[in-house]
Amino acid sequence: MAQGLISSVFLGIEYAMIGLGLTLIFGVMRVVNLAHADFYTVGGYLTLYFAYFLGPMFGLVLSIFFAFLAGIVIDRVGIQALRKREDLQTNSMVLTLGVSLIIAGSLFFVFGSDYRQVPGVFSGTTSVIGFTFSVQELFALVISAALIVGLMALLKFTTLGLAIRATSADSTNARALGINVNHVYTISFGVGVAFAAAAGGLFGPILYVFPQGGVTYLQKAFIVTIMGGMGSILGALIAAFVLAAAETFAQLYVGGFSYEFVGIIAVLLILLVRPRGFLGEIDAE
Amino acid sequence: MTYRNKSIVGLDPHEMLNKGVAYMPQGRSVFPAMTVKENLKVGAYSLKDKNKARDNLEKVFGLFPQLKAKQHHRAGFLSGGEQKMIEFGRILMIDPQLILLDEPSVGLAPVLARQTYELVTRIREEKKTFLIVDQNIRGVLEIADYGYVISLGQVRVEGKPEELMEQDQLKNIFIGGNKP
Repeated sequence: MAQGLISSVFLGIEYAMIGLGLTLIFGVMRVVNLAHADFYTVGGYLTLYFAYFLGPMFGLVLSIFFAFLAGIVIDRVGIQALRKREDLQTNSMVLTLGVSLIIAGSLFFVFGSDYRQVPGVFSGTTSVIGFTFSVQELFALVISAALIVGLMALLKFTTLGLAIRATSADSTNARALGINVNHVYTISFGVGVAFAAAAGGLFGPILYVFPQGGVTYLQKAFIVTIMGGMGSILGALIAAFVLAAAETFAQLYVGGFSYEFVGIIAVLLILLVRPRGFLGEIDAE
Repeated sequence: MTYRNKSIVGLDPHEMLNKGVAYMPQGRSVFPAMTVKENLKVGAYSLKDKNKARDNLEKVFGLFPQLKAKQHHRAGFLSGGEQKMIEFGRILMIDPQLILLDEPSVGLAPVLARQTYELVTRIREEKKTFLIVDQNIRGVLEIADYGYVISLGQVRVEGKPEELMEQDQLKNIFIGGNKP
């Protein structure tokens, strides 16, 4: 039981790191980012690459930074043109599917198809209240929690956060009030994919990465986003832990590969009770 | 199109705001999930001077004490009239000289439409100019100083509200009949 709870927390924070970025991108931009989980893989590989020269800590920081830059470039070069057209959601899926294929292909070309372990910032284990953890796991947990709290504080307390929330709620009105919504979209995409990359760099040392590794995480990120209410950051955070707990306890008590489909069942059950997810706006269009 | 003898064609909203021209879109436009204060702060987004933003917030709270009392409430939970106050207060946050209103009464209950016009009259006393486009002719002429009747893209009649209300021309234009 206690072991299950602890595992749920570690898995939950990882799902939150991936799901929050997708939620932010969808909530603010109405863009369905099918390349989202590939940034998790990119984060892992970039950390692996930079760590070779600069050590794992700088590798992690640089990989997050470069993922942020890549997000900005993709938005400016690709998604921005789609915003001027009708049906952004569908078009963005086609674009980001292409980005996803390019990323997976490039990683395969450069690093090969082997499973690679990302070098962790810490190694070894430690024991806390009678349970043994790897130090990297605890490090990943603490940094992830700090990043999530940081994102929520940014949204709640800063002028940029205000602009992001206003754009998310009503972009036409936000523009009328003088907000440069184009900047808001670009920054949101950059921050969103940077969170996925951070997850790759932080959890890659524990879970390994490979070029097509994003697919599983894309599924989790979507479950988290839908369950949370299609755009609610707090809702996605709750959903991440609910999904993790459902999977962990299914594995613990049912066993086998039941955790693979338990997430789908969980999201269906929750949508049955709350059709708009945990914190979906009742009056959303 | 010119404002103070300068062309304003093709300007971005934030450039218009910097010139002191604010625009209020049709229908309800508060951000329901944000608090009252946050809504007002969005209005000051294009202001560079943050001290001025703080002063303007105090002015808006002075004008609408109701909003000050409920500043930490979610805007979506306030009454329709209070939400209109937020919309006007949000525009006043940049202390504009000219305020453009796009059909402020459209889709509103009659009571709320009247409250909206009352708000315009109140804010006008703060030395603000309004340019209002509205189909509610009687309602808007009651508060206006000067009116233009536009039909099919052309100014048909203009004048002081009393004159416009008297003239048969209004009836002709809107009900049909003889072409001007």
